[in-house]
Amino acid sequence: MNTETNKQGRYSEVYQLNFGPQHPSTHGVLHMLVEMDGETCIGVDTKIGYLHRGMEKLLESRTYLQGLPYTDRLDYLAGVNNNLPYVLAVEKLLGVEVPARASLLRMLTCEIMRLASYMVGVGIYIMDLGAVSGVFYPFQEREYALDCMSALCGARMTQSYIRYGGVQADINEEFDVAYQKLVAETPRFIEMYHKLVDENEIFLRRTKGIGVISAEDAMDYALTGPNLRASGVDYDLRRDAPYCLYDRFKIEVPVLTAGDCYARYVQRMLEVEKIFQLIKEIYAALKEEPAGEIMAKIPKVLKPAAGEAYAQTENPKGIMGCLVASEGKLNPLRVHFRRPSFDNIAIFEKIMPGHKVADLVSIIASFDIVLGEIDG
Amino acid sequence: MFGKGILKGLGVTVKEAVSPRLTEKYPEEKPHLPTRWRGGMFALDQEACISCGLCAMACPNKVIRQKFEKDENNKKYCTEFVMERQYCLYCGLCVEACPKSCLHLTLEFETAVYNSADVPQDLLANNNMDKQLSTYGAKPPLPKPVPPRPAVSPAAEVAAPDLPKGGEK
Amino acid sequence: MEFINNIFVNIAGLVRWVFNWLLGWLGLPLGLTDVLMTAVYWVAIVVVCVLCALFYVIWERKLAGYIQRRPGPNRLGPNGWLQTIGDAIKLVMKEDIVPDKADKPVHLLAALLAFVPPMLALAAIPFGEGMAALDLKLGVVYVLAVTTLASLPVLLAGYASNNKYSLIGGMRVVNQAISYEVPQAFALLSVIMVAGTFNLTEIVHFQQQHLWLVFVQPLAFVVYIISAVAECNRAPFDLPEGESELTAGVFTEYSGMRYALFYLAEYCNMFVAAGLATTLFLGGFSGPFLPGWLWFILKTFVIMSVFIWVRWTLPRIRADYVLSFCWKILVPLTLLNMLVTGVVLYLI
Repeated sequence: MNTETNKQGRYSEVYQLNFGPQHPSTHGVLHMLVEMDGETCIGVDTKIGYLHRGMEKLLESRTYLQGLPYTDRLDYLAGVNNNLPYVLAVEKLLGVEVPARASLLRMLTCEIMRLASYMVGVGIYIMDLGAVSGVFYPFQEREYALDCMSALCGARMTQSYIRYGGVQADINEEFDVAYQKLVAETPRFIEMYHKLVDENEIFLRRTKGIGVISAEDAMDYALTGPNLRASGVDYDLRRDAPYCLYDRFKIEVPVLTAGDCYARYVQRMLEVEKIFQLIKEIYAALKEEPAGEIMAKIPKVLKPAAGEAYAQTENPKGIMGCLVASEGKLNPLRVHFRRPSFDNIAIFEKIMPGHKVADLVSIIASFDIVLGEIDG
Repeated sequence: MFGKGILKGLGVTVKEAVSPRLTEKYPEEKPHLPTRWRGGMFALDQEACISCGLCAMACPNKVIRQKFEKDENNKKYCTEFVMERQYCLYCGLCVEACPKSCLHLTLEFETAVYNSADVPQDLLANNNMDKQLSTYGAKPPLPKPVPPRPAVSPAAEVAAPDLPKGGEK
Repeated sequence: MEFINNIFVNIAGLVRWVFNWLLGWLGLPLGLTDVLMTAVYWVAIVVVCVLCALFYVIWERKLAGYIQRRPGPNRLGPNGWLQTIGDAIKLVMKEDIVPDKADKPVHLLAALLAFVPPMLALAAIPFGEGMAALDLKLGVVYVLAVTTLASLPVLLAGYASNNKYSLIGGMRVVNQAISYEVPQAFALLSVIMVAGTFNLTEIVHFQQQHLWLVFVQPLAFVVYIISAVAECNRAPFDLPEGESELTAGVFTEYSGMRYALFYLAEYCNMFVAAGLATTLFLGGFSGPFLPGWLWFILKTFVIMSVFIWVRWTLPRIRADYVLSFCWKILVPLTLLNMLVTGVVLYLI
């Protein structure tokens, strides 16, 4: 405890508040040591690692295929999206060509899970601001997306659906039924949610002008994903550095310039609409694609040639990169992930000071972080 | 006007309040599981099993505890086949690895037990084949018949000795 | 009909007669009857308090469930309506944890005191014709004064817990309660100007003869409802316990029975606020066909449901906006309302 002169020249006691790791709005176990002056935050120290599972080490101690299910557990809200960078990196080492149908299936599942992840993102945001019902409507919607995934690969969240050289299974009638349900329900949800949240005066006061990030800061701090685009930087890997078959489609990327919490929310809702469009396009393309192989010819035992490969994908939370170094053995020598949530939260220490304690909640929630990804 | 958005929101919630409930009435009505569902108990077709051990080798977390013996015809057979489900990720890699499609997941999802000792599932004592099987990992019907694969692929046999250790238990 | 309408009054008369008879039989002074009747009223108020809290806890959970398109608690009892009783039993059975460095006597006292203000306030509210335990001349002032006390135990809890979250919550309670006391009083004042009396029963009689005051003073009604929500620390003004900011705010260090007392007290406070709104604006126990006390229960039920509906729709307001909303919007509005009321009354 120390006393300092605060802005108004009064002496008040600066105290430290432990925000988390056991706190309902830190999305798990994020720990922030907040220096407080009254209800105003004057300094933040973000501490992480309470959910550290040694993911990279786990992958290094297993064969390539055995390691695959563990990547789901990074950003557990979008399992397949995490499979993809690891698989793409290993495929670069292996030098396999993925069948077009498998690529489309990869994209379809990634987009469906991206939709599901955004649903959680916006829902949790509203809940953290205090409107608890706001979390239930997106979760109902997300359930349709998860139904699609469980019809396709049997698991709702930790799918590990993507395989080296292809995907695990082709779509079936069950998937089609679940998909039709998703397509039918999503527009209704989007309209309803805009009505519930967008014009709410309390919500606007809680979010507008809070946690403003300029485009320069966003780039300096290596923000990625919707948080970057809400600050006015037009960058989306799906369009700017296409992987899979994203170059076949016209990817529309909404960009906002305000860079505050409200912009981040609106950004997500706009992207939900675009993702929904993209899902429909990919599904149509998949239906046109002749039925065929969904797996490339790959050896039964994977022993990639010695070397390094890096692959990156646009994940719901930002750019997920994966570096795989092989020395020609059954297990990788080194695996490293660029985890978007981890890089995104670095800016907390810059934007949080000066805000009220209630705004900290708003800022954390607007970033849509996942602790499984931050701690690895 | 101030308060218009709030009133709109209140309208949405009251509309939702009179909409039908979406909750699945679980204990009264069993949920409908997709046929490819994974996450339940395991089932083993003992007659078809050739005791190759590929499933145990595919497992990321050393869930499968197996012991083999050879009979008078020098044919391998299992004397122990236990799924230690407490470590299981339900990734389904073992099911996919099975060359004879004899290891299955079932749609039996109510797997809670009272004692931790009951969690491992002894597939030899109870092979669960009478339960509804999941089609997860089932080989898709191919256009023309393919020659059956060798029981143990040579590569896998070579690979076995220097297979990296799974997670510590 | 008349019998059902006066059933509780008749029961009270019967009890009084029994007491009189007993005291006469025992040869004691008949003045003791009033003392005994006070005890009976007190027990009745406690029963009403607990019953309405138990009912509204489960109704809130049910209604929240409906809003979120789920059935709410539906296991214990017929369709889950006994869930609160099960929860209460669980909370009683739980270990009573007091933090090591807490101010232990205050920590205990706060939970016990929490129940006192709503009970005091309920004593003055007329549930039906002649059904106020304490028919005061200055009923409105009394109820206002007593409900203000409701923030005191919460402040004590925040202070005594020796927890930063609790302390922030406690500070917010005082902020909010003192600020919203002002527009609430002004809103009620304009009602009193119209009705010309401070007595709650007489205000109801005034509305029976003329018009429900909600039609005469709609602005005062809205302001009163907003301030009542703020005074009860309910969402969107639930800053003291704002779950996503302050974990559980003032109640962070409370568990078991002590937490349950706070929880029930919150619902009792709401019931008092709803009861006062009914009495002052919605014609209290007046209404056709049904007995008066049933009308009172129905009207409070509607207002309580509105409280719950608002809670499960709106986000939480930030602490500084709560105050600026009060001082910059509500207070000028009510002052203006009073002025207009005064001018109109003068002209008429």
